[in-house]
Amino acid sequence: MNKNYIEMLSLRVLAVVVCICVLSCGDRDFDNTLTVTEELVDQTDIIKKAGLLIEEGDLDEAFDLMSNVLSKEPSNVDANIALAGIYLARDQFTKALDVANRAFVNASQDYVSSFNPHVNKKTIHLTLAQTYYYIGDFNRSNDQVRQIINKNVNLTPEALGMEIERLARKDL
Amino acid sequence: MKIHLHYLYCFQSNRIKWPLSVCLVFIMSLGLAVNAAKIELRSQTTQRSEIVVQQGDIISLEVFVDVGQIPSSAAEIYLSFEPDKLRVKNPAIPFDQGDFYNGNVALNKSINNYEVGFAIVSNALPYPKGEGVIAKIRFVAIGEGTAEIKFNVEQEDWDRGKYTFFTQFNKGQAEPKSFKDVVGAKIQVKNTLLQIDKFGLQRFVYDHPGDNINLDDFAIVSGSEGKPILNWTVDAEDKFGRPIEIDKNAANQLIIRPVLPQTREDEVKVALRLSLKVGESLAVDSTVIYVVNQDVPIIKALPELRFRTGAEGIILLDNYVQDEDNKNAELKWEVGQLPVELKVSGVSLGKVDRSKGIVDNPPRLAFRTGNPINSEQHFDISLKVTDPDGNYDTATMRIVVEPLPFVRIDLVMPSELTLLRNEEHKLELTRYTDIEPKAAIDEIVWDVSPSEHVDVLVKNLVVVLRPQQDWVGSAEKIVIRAIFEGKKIDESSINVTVFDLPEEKNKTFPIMLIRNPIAKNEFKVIAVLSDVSEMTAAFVIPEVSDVLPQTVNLKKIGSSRDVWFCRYSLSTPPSKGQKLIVSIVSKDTRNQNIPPSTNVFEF
Repeated sequence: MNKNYIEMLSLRVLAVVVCICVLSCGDRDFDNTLTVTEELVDQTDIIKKAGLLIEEGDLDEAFDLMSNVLSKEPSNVDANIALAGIYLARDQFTKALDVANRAFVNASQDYVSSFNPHVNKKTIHLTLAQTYYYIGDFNRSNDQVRQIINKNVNLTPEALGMEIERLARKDL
Repeated sequence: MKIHLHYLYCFQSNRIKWPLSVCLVFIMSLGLAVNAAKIELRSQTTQRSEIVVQQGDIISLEVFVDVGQIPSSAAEIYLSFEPDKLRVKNPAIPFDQGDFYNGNVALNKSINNYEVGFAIVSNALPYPKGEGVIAKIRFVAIGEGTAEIKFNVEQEDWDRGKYTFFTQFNKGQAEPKSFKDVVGAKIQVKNTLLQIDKFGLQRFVYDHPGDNINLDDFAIVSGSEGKPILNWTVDAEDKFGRPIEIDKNAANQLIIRPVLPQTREDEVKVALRLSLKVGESLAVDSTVIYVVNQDVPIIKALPELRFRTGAEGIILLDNYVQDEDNKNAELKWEVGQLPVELKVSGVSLGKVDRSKGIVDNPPRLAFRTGNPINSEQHFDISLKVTDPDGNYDTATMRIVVEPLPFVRIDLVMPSELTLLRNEEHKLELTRYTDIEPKAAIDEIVWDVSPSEHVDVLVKNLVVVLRPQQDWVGSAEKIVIRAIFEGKKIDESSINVTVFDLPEEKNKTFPIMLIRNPIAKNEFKVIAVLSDVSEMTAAFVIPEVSDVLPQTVNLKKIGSSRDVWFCRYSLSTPPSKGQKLIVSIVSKDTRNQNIPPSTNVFEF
């Protein structure tokens, strides 16, 4: 009977040790969960921060931040239109068209960016109009201008340039 | 006749000699009194008997007679002179015949070393009467003093048969006659025979450094008895009295070049002695000339090179040299031992041997010190400049290193600034000034140097630049200085350009400025023009000191034939109302310039 009592006691001790080990593993899993939550919360702030950098003229830093956002959320309209503006500034028109069209597809009709209240759906059209203009696709540029001014116009390159200049000078 | 008279006198017994003499003198005096004949020895040029000459001069004399209205057929003349003062130029044939008598010369010779004789007899009618020159004679003045040349008309001359007389007709017979008036020549011989043109010689040495000197050209020898052989002796010594070897060639040329000093301080003293033997006398003159070199480079007063610890002092050496004969030549500079406290920096780095080196082109020295010091430190550096001729000059330059003031200030104003016509511009000094300690900025006195067309005013730490009314132009320099406790501690300069905004007529083709819809500091400039091969845009933002003018080439939009664009970026967002002037210059497809187009954009 004593022998049986010792065996039982040993089994109980072993069970307690196993429980302690199991509980320890649960703590590490909880930490990982907290980290993921933090990343999701920071996306909007990153976009706002990138928006400030664009305003200050630091396009390189803004480009890195927006690219990071886009790698995690490819359809993010803010990141796409912001990157379109940066590509446009850098004369990388093909890439500018790619991200601007993606922004156009994903933007709702009443879209307003989170990094700049003056950037909206018409801004996306204007970005596309400028990009098409610089690559010499004046027809598609005219298409985009029509979307902005709600008039069925077909402007010459010179007149189209003047109209784009006028539209870019004001808040749409 | 003379012989007749001579015999008439000499062959008489002593017993009757005295009574005869008395009678002859009575006869002669009676005859002269009647004829009133005159004989005179006088200068051929002045026709005066009192003559002044110098030793060595040749005296040309003529024997002039006036025999009255009774014809004369002959004359015999004897002249006596002092041989230590005069010498007959041509002792063998002393006289030249004059034009009074036309006949035979019976006598023409030196009797001894102090007498000459001349006799002439007319051999053709009509015999001369009245006045004229019987003969001419030349003497050389050799001894100083008064010398007389006399006609022999004394009793003793008669006794010796060396008496001066002439013949005159009386009842068809020629009778000997004495002259009533006898005038010899009185000659004053001065002793300025030989002289060195001391001033001319010294002037030549100054004006022709290194040239050989023809010494004989500077010897004044009175008289013209041929070209005398001048004897020169020369000795030279340097400024310390040490003898220097100096050469004189056989043509009496002094060879200067080997002894020509190479610096302006050096001089060579040359003692010259000129001698000439004339007759028994020796004429001597001497002088001293100083050989200096006027063509050496001269280091003008070097300025005191003064700079602060940590700053740099630069001196352009050639600015302080004057070298007349090598104005554009490259001068060689050498510096002596450099103090270890000074570091050679700037463009001369590596071109100066610190122990004793040569500064080659560009000849400038730049010094820098880094160690902090408590008080002014002075360094003296010896400099030597040598011209291509090997002439040189030396000087000492003083370098003064000042300690830093307790206020450290670094004033860096924009180097270029573009203003609009008739618009003033303000710069806040605090923005361009780094000062330690900060509070010291209130103690700084600001001094400005306006330019010709831009007025400058500093008030409350703001620099106000005000272009003069309607003036436009470029690159006028204004200087702003920070002064602490009366010492300039830093300064900065600004080149100011004043623009006039372009007028509408300057838009020869359209220029557009399209702003990026997202990145508001980014722009594209669009120009529309056909048949263009290249385009360049120039950007100017007036009154913004941080944005310098720049130029950018435009690219043609691929599928378009006449639309060009380029990128234009601003580092900071433009302020409201700020202007951007864009000018585009271009060339057409035939490489011809197209009139530029300019547009002004206001943000």
